[in-house]
Amino acid sequence: MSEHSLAAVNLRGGPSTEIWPDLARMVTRASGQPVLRCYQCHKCSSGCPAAEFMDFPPSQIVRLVTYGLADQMLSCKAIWACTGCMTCGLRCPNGIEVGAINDVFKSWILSGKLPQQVGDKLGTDQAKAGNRRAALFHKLFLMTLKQFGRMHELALMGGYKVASGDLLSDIPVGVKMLFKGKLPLLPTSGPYRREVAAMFQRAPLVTRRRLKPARRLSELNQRRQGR
Amino acid sequence: MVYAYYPGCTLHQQAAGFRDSTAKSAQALGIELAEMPNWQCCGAVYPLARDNLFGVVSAARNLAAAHDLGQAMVTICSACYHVHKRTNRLMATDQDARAKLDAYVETEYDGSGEVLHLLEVIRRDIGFDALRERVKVPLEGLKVAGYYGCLLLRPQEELEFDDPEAPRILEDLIEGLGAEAVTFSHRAECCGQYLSLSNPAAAHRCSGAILRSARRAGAEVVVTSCPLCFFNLDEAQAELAREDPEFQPLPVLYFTQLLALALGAWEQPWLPAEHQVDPGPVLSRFKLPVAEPAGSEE
Amino acid sequence: MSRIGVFVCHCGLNIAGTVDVERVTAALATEPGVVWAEDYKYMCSEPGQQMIAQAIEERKLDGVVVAACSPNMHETTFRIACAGAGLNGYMCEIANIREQCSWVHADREAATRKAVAITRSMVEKVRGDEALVPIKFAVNKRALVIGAGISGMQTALEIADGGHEVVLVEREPHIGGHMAQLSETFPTLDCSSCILTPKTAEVGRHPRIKLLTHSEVVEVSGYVGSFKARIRRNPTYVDWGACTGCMECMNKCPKRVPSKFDCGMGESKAISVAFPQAVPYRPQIDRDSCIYFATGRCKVCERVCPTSAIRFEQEPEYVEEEVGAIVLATGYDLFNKALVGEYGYGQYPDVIDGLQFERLLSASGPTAGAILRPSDGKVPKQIVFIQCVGSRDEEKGMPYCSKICCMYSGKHARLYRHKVHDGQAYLFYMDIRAGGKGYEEFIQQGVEEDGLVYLRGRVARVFPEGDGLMVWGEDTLSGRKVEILADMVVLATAMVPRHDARELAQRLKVGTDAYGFFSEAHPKLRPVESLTRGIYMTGAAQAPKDIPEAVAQAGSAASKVLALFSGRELEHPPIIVELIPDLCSGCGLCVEACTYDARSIDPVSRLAVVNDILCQGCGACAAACPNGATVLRNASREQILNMVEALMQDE
Repeated sequence: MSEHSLAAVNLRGGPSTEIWPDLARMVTRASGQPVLRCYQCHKCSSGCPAAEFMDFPPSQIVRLVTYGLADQMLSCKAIWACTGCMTCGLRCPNGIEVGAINDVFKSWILSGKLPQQVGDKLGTDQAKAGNRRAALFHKLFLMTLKQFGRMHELALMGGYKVASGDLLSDIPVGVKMLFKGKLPLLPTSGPYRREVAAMFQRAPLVTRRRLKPARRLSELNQRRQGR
Repeated sequence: MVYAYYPGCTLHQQAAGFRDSTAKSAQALGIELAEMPNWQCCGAVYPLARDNLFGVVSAARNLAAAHDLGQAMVTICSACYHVHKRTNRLMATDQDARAKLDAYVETEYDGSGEVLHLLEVIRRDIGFDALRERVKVPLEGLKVAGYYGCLLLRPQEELEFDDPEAPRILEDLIEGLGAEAVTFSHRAECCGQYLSLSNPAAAHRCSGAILRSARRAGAEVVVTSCPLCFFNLDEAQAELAREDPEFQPLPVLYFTQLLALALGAWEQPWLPAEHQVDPGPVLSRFKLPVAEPAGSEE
Repeated sequence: MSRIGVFVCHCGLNIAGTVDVERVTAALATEPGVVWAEDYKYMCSEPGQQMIAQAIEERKLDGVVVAACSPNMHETTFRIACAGAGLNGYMCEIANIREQCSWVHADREAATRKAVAITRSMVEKVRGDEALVPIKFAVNKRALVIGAGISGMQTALEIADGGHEVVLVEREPHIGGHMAQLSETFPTLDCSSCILTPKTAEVGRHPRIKLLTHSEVVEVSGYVGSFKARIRRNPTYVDWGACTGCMECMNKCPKRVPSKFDCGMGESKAISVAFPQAVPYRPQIDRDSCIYFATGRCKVCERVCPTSAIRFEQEPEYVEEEVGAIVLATGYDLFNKALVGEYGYGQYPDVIDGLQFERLLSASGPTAGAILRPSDGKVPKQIVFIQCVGSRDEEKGMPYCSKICCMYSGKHARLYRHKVHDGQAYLFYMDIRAGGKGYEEFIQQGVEEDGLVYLRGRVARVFPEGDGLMVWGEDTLSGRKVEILADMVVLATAMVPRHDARELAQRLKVGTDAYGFFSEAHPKLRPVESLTRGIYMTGAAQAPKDIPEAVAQAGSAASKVLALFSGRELEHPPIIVELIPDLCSGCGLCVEACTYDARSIDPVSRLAVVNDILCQGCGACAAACPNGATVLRNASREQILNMVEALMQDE
């Protein structure tokens, strides 16, 4: 890939920004999408169902990535408003799936491991609030899974309500659902619960790509037998 | 032939009607669905970013388990179908990912198993034309809008489920059941997914556009295959009606509920608990011709 | 004893920057057989060539080696310079010390040693060279032009006006190509037929143009100067000689069919002539729609024909034409809108493509020039024109720009506004490409005078909404999403080559690019020639282009043909293979090795034969021959072995 970098262009005026010259390359590699092919036709934004709720619609996200404007990406509403419907990827003449790019930023944020240091605090309060709720939901979903092995909505929703501080909204709906028997009080159970918990424990190994393929399989099997 | 049936989390939670109507329909059609022992949550979303293998570990485990049973995996939830099918393909085509996932999940699965949606099973094993002969309660004159959502259709290269711009499988099913299939402009537009939690106003806009489009096309009822789409479309209607007095509520069903009704496998396949918009007024006119109920009762 | 001169070029810094040219010159000066060696900054310049000529005369050289750039560049230059000084051009060899040395190495010492080795090896070659004379062969001064659209017709006219006979073959029953379907042309808004029909009329009556319509070229053999083309005359089921063009048959024919000329927007009959100004103005029966061919009944046309010209029993006829040059002018097709899912897969009747809109605009079209919706015949008050449908689209397989769509979409919108004063035209574009003469002004006029609304952005989706079509797009310049409820949508679909262009190219051994357009010999300097001598190309078949360019290229192709025909004979480079019959065992390996069909086994003598003119001197057969019976001139085995020894001398 060439060393093309819009990041070298001096952006006059506007808010002070954190520029990562390598952002386009990082995102291309992490998402598998050919970010630099974009010629801003905006067919993606035109078809995006969530574009009107985004501060940066999909075409702008791609543009900002090319500029290397990392902090705007990390603090924006748009990546959290993306529903992953893949309409952008279906329509783009250059085959760019913007949802994948959004996922890259979300996973950097949720893992707490940004590929580069970011300067000061990110984003406006409003965006932060919305993002916080979305990020919270992701975390709680995973926590519920880790605990129960399968989805247990009461735990998820309860946890979400408490953690987001948004206790009162949706309560009528929740209560109705409870009484209609749609929200079982107790989770189901089975041997899978232990297995899922074990998977979570092993997660760092996979994400850090420490686990070597086939060679280790026999070792793992031996260890399992010895247990 | 027995299929490894993967119900998915929500079917045991808020989508019981989906679960029960599937069981009754499959029985009526002679499709053997054996629930996989020890299945776990698929994760609900397929990570779009490439560097996140952890997101598909759970699905990989389920796929390996189905393969060990020697059965093809059948799902009915769009999200579970999407995640499993794409993970399966990843394991079949990406050597590196397969090696890591196999090591992690401790199997030797190679992505050669089959992942099917119940609609594909019906199309393949029975055929929508032949379905007509099994219908005991023809849904004559019922205008049904098939809502696909996102996850069944995109990305087409990986799912190969149907044409993403002009899909037909739900319409074929609906017509096979004797009803009138209504196509509408928003049948493949996103319902808003998890926005219903983080940005309810946004989700309502998405769902509202879909419901209004279906209404304008003449639909009396909407069928879907995704519990989240169901939730969004159904739940939004109270608020939509409050905002706009002219909004006409439109009942939402799982496709298997319609199927069970038409096959005479379930007299009243809608559980009042499950629906904010009661399908009763639209569907209660469809009854078995003879007083004796066919198939098993609840 | 040889008297060889070595001339080492600096090529500015291209060579001298990496290779020590003085050292090379000095090293070669001491080679046996070399009597003169000098270097110069730019050997290819006039003074440089003068140097060589002078040295030949003064030093009585009988061989020359020029150590310089690739022979592709200046071999001809230096050979002619030598010939001018009285030395046979084939005694001049080029040592490539640029592309194969100075341009690919950085180490000065190593590069210099390599340059010496290369030049030394070419001295060895020259030592074994023979003086050769180009092979002269006859040229049949007749041309074949395949395709009678505007570009093909123009080529044919210019060659014919230049005094030579032209066989003009056209697949359709009439000539004129797509231009005949157009209503008006940009930027002048000239009526297309008005400027086309003088040409079609001229082609029709030109004494030196043999017009074969409703015909296809099925086979071509031979080589430049003597091609043989086999042409199939597809049956029209009408004797055009007896037919007077009264068209009673068409009037009375009971079978209505969608009109191909009108792109399905109107109706025609099973027996028809495509349009009123068609040349030749004679009907043809479409076998697939004709009632008689399907059921054996009807024959109304036969009954009403006053000259009994209907011939149901007509069979395809094959004719052989011998020509000296061929010009490909097969033109283009439009990308099929039925492949575009987001705009409806061709299922919405009011979503049409550019050519269909032209037929609506045309006074001789299905609506007599009125813009009407195909669905209900109403006048559309809002039309959306979508540019770049299929073009500039990696995913759909056409990453290129089709060049004409910005202009014709603007033209369509302007003409629509001229006809429907209270109508509104919206054009969705990505960039406006209006580079020709008067083009940018044309677009500006559209905006300023005709109120065209240009919205920059690609349309995501078109879907039916009520009676109309909902268009979802975005105006990227303001960043706002746009929704337009249109009465009609016109798609500017990509220009693609004819679906069977690749097949034709293969038959003629002409290359095509990844998309099926014919490959030119050099994109900048040789745009109308193929790599096969004697076969040329012109028009949209080579690449998307507009009418002025198609006409200009036609003139260029014609002039190439006229140049080919200008002498008494043609010359073929003499560096070809020769056969030593005594060594030939008739094994046929040379025939298999040859990609130019130049080798064969004589059925009587059972020995191998070389066709001098087809032979391109590649040497593959010489390498394949196990007996050494085939020898490449000026590249014999001894010469090559000597060259190898010279290269390895210092190793």
